Amino acid sequence: MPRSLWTGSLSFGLVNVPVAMFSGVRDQDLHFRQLHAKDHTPLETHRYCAEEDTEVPYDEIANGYETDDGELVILTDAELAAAAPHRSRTIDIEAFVDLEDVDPTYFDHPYVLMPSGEADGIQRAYRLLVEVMSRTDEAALGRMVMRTKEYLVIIRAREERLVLTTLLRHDEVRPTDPIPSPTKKDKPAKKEVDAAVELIESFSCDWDPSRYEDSFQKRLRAIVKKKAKGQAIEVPEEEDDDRTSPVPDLMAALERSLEEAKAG
Amino acid sequence: MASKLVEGLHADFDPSDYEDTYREEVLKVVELKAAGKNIELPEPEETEAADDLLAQLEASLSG
Repeated sequence: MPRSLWTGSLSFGLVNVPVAMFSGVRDQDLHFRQLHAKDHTPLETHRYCAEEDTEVPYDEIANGYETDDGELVILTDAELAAAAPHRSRTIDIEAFVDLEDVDPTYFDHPYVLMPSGEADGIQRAYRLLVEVMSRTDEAALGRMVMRTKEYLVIIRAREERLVLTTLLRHDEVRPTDPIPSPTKKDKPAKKEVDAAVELIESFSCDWDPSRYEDSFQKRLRAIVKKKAKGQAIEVPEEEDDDRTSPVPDLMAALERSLEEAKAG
Repeated sequence: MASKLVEGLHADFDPSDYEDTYREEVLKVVELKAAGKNIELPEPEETEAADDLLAQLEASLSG
């Protein structure tokens, strides 16, 4: 069982369900050690205090906030928790929303909430929330404080469990520069749009994440293996195919893609 | 009954309804500390275990 990242209670009206929160993600990446290129010595990160000329252990680290006039205000973890004592321990469900109204841009990181405690009442309240959320197809919105940040979170039922996804704040999503409105010349023609829609339809399939293996990582592993055997790694020539060049004739490109899709 | 409670809390999703108030609360603590004042550490909250689920749901609905 992995370590829980947060424990507290999920509060729904007057019903409180003690929960523990776990990351919903596991790391599958290929990791590289950083070395000094000259002598292959692994690099190390140290938290170092210049005053005492010594390394600083984690439990001796404090949080300093630098004010505008350069003064450092020191806060302990307990004092930080005083900023929002309730939300550091409770996720209050504030509203229920239709999941499809939430633009995926806002999704940040997935977690799993598990009931914390063996008592009958806890398990029953947890199951009630799972059931009512799967039945109504609604997702709960709430706020919580984890470490030194407040998160807007969305909670829904998935595989008999409550899963929580942290959401980006509206002001964290960066506004984009407006795209100039199309002139008559660069507005797509109807037959181009129709052909593009047909092309999309020919690509349409049911979403199954297991179909998308990380082929880049497989190749990376193969390269590492080859190198370990002392074989030379061929550095590919820069690609110069017409797939990456701009499209001179949009309609011709669409028609060719459609033919390939049909043949494919 | 829980479904009714969900319906009662239904809202349209508007991310701008949820401002980050924590940031300001932390800055308040920083100011207090900078002024040399004491920061009151919160008492641990008593969270009631869900003993009588039905009663709690009823109370939530009537609230």
